[in-house]
Amino acid sequence: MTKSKINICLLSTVIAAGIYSCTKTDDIRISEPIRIVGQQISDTILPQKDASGNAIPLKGTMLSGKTYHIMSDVTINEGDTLYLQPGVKVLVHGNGLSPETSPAIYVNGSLVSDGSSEAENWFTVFETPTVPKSNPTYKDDVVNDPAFKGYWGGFQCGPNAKLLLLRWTHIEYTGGPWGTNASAYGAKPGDARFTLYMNNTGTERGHLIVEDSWFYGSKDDGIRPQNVYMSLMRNTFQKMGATGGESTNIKDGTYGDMAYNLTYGVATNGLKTSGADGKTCLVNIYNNTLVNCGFRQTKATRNGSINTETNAGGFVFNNIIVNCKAGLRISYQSEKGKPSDTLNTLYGNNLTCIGRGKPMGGAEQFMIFIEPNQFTLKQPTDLNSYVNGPIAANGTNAGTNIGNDSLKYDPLFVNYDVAQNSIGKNYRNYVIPAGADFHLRTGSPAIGTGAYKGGSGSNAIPYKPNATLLLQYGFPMTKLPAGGTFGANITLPNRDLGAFPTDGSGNKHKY
Amino acid sequence: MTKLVLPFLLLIVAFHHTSLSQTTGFTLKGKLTDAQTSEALVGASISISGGHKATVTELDGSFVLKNLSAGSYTLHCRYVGYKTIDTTLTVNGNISIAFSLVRNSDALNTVIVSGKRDGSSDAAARRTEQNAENVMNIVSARSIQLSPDITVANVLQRVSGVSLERSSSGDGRYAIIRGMDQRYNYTLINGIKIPSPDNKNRYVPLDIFPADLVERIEVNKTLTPNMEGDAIGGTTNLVMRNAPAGMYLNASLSTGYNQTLFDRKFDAYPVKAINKKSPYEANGPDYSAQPQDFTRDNLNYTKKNAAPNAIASLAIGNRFFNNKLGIMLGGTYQRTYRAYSSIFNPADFQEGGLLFIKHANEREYSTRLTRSGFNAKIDYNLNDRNRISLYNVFCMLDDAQTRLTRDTLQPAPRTRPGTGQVWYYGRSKFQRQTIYNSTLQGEHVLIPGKLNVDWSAVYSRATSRIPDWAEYEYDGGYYTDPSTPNDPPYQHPNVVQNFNRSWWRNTDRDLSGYLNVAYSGQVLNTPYTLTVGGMYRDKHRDNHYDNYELRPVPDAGSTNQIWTDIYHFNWSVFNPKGTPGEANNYRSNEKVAAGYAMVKFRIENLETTAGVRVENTKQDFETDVPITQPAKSGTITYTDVLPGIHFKYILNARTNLRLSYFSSITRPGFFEIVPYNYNGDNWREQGNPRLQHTTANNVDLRYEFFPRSNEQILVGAFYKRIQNPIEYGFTFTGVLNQTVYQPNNFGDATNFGFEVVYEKYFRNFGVRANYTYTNSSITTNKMTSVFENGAVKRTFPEEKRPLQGQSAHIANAALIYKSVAKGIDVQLTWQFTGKRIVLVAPYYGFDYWQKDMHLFDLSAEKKIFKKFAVFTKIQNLFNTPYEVYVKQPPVNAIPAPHQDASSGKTLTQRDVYGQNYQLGIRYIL
Repeated sequence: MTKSKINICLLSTVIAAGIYSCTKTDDIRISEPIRIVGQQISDTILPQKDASGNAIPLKGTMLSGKTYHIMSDVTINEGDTLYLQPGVKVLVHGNGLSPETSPAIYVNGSLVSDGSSEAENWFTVFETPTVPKSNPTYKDDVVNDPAFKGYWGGFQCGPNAKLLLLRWTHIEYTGGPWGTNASAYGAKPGDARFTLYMNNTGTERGHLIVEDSWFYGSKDDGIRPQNVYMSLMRNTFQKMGATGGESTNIKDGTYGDMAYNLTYGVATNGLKTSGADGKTCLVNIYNNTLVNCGFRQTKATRNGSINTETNAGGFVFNNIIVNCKAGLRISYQSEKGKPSDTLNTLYGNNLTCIGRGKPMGGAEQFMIFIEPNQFTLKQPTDLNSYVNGPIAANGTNAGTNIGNDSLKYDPLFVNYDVAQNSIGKNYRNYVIPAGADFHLRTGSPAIGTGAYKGGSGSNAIPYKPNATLLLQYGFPMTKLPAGGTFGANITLPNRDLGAFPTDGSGNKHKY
Repeated sequence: MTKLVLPFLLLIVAFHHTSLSQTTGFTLKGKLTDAQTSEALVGASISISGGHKATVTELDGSFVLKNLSAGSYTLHCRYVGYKTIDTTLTVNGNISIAFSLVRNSDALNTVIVSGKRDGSSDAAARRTEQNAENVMNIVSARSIQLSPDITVANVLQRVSGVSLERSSSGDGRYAIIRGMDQRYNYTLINGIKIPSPDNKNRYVPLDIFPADLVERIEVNKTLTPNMEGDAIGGTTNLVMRNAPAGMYLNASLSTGYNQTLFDRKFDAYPVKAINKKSPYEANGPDYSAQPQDFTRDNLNYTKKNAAPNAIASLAIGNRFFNNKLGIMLGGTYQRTYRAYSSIFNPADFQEGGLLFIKHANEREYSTRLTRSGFNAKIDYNLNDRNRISLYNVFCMLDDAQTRLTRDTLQPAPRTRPGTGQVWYYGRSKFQRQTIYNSTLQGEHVLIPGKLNVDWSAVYSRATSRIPDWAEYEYDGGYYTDPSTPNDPPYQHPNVVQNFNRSWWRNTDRDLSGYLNVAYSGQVLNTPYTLTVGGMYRDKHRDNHYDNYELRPVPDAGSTNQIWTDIYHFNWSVFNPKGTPGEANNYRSNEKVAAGYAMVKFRIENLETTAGVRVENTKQDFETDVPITQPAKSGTITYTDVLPGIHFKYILNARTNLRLSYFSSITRPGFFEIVPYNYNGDNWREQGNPRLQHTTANNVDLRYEFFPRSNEQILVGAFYKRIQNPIEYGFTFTGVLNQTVYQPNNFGDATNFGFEVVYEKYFRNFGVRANYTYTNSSITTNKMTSVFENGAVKRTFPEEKRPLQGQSAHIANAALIYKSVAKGIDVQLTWQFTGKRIVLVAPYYGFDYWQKDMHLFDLSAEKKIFKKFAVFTKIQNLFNTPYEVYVKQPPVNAIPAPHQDASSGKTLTQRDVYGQNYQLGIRYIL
């Protein structure tokens, strides 16, 4: 081979190798969302539209005594606050048939509904002949009851929502399907919207405070927080979840308290907490009263009252569970769940009553005190008819439910006859009877059997020195600002069980 | 055409007189080769006058004529594409002769490829391999015909360095070339890239192509600058039949059956009952779907005896008008029934990295595949210098599948084997995929011997439709009474569950133009060919998706609904308006403009092809999300400069040594850059519009030795360095370190290996074998958890692993018996795919590995009468199961089914397909 020919070869190699370094990084241009500046509310028909027909985001104040009409989706921008004075009524015009006709309130900033016991606030549907409201005659009729129509889309929070506070506020008829904007909220078009969804994937945990409020009617889950600090106190839930769904379904990254809530006739669980793989959900669940929950879940094994799953922990005390499909479950494994965080879980002083005699299964749905083969044990301070069995290597317990102990732990409510409400299919009733009073009568086993600060013996709140998270976050928690218009008003654990203790503290609702 | 006058040559090398006394019973042995390449010619007909004796040459080019009397004979030797020999020889003893034939035309130096050579033979395939500028493997039509395979995908697994990703029925679907999965490869038809019917990605399912339709399959493992640059593993080129030199007719008809269907019935549903259009598509966006809009017949399964398979193919061609016009038509129809069963136990993560089996699925599949393909090639030689051709191909695959599942929940309420919650599912899925390509091509010799031009104008379209994909579900099972846990279990009523009906459709349309100009000249006494060219493609994709959730209406007086059958299932439509705005509704465009310059020259024994290609890509997407949301649309633009240099050192006429370097790219999938966002139980899954495309530098070294025709030894090695490969892993957002699972660029990967190909023939017997070793590695982050200071904590350790789909060891062997005289071909093949990751898990240590898999197939063909042959093919001779495991044992307290506790592994999947038998008849003119 001649020298010049070799040179040609070499030259072409060098050129080829040299050119390669020219490749640049990709030029990527992604469209930005349209930005519309929020405006002070100056009308009662919302949202107002700008010149191009875009909805103008809400901010400012809704005034006491006024009724506001929401005609289509409204938004509160990041950094903005919408404040509702006490005594505001918000009527949402929707029919639940499509995303467009089921408006939602998108909270990217803060929303404070500052109702009071004297002047309650309302977020409900605008009733028309084709959009009828429910009434108490619908007791066990999920097919026809308008409560489950999901007329509007509820409160959907953006990734940086700061505060969602509902106080003495009625939230009704939520759950319409997601539309084209679903993906921004991690959902898919066509999915049911939760009544209240808050998932802070942005810069800091959001604050969720719901107190003394009423939730009536939803298609799927009610309150579904993730990555927030929360306080859910003294609320009433009924007709939540049509054929599945929980009053509260608390997800990973949430720290807070659920206390003094009454959940009545909820499809699956009254109160549920669930973390994620490698991610905690720490919620104290105390002094709640749960009645008739768990019978509209089409999946057979999803518990039915209080359920902690997948790395969920917290203090679980002083709850009353009546005629639910199953009592408290500290889950090992279930269809949905993985093991709870048993290290950071303490529980006891819970009462479970089954008002229906043997057989508990058969033609009617099962009702059990404790689901066996999960972590749950009957604690010495518990009131229920479960007999602990041997504890397996994986920590689960194969105990037995005593079938004959019907009405054994009747909490003796002031005006709610458990025996009467257990006859036939009454356990499936999902509307709180008029005049019902879940306070405790004299002689109730729920009186004086609670765990509380300063209590001793069986009234003491147990201490677990190696439960790092429980020690760190406390019972109840203190992560939210306390008191005032923008803070949480926390009621401490009571010496009585349930949401309606004899000292008159706790839940103030009347039915 | 260059007027090369090649000597008409008869070369008798040796006469051996072995006996002088005999006058009869002499034997004439001979060997026939190609005059130019010295390759043996197989199947040439040899006859001698007088004795009326005739034979054909065997696999090694040899032939024998026995019992000849002494005397003079005229020996005729005919072979398609070669000049016939008539010569005289005198027999007066046992003779050995060797002679060679000259081709009718020599195509090597011309643009116009003569249609007269039979490009479908093995020998032709080897020749093309040897003469190629780059590293290439070729499977000829004849070996496809003889192979046990009926789809292109399955044929490909016989090629060295190629393994398959299989569909659920066990059929190959995608080619993994040198451990690089389908993402890193592209598919061509006659050298033209074709679009994909996949709704999310750009790769083409190869099981859509009937094997009968192709003349040969070329697997390119290196890219020259005149090839599109987006392959890192390699390319698969399906070369469809060209118009023949004369009348050509090849027809076959066969039938077959699947062993499983001898053992059980086929679960059939009427495909006609499927609503082709969703309520949204049929009635527009304002329509609210009603319960009666959804059909029931397509979810009603009846057990039937499957009809026998029907497979037919026809190829017919001829030349007209003084050979100016050539037409080749081909058609194939395959309707096959399969039944197979599968167990599927997905691995559930439990804190601390433990594995738990939550669901134990047992599935019975029944599937009917209807595969049809048509091609038409017309070429017209305007004159010696100009030729126009029009090529059309259309392939369609219909897959009507039933899947009946029984899923036993492993955790509570299961208390012991025989108890537990059980889900029952019935799924009907019908998918129609089509690929159409139409190419108008021109080839022009502007200055003979100096300047040639060719161009192509292409329209292609790929579609996929899955109308009304539906799977109903009801739950029941066997529970123990919690108050009497030791009593026998009672049967829980079967409660109907929510279910979905979804409609998917997508199209991918390409308009492309190609232009190549080749100039041959001489500099410093060195002849060279300079080729410059370019291409432009405008691609448009359209993806549509509708999903409806149907929820059971509780029975009167009940809170749930009890299952009786699909006709009694009373449902309501949860989202009557469908799912507009769902992320699977998107449009995507891609405009690729490319240009290249490439020079090829030979200095003494070193042939060099060097050049550079520049590709500019502009990809965009548009979604249906409202304008108030970010990333409604996006555009990604980049330019790549892709040099390549390929040396072929011709040691001698039979030996090449090749060294190649090329750089190439891979583009992100269409859906990967769409900003979808699903909130899973444990993390969000998001698309990633900010993905960078992948670039790679590839080096190949190959030693090729072609001792004889049909005989080769190849030894090669390769090394690839891949920048920005696209893998799925975790990224973190916000100060809360929110976890997002998405496609992303996780640094670089490497891939190296070597391959050996060996073929040898001994008269009637032949052995083909290849082996490939591949070692790739990539590191991505995975999730697991630890307990730290009394609290569980996510950790994201990095895990190094091979690329998905890469087996360290792949081997093939075929044992061939061929008697040209008796008209018998028999082939026994063994295909080995070593263990490999078939699914990359998001969890650390949870990757799904396929077990080593040995597949044996047998095929045989026997000529009967003059122009007929009967053939048989048996696939999966030993009913090899497809098994997948995770490399750690399950922690289930109540033993999960199908697990071997001592193995230290979890069996997550086992599919058993049964043998497939085929019996048919072929007619060849």
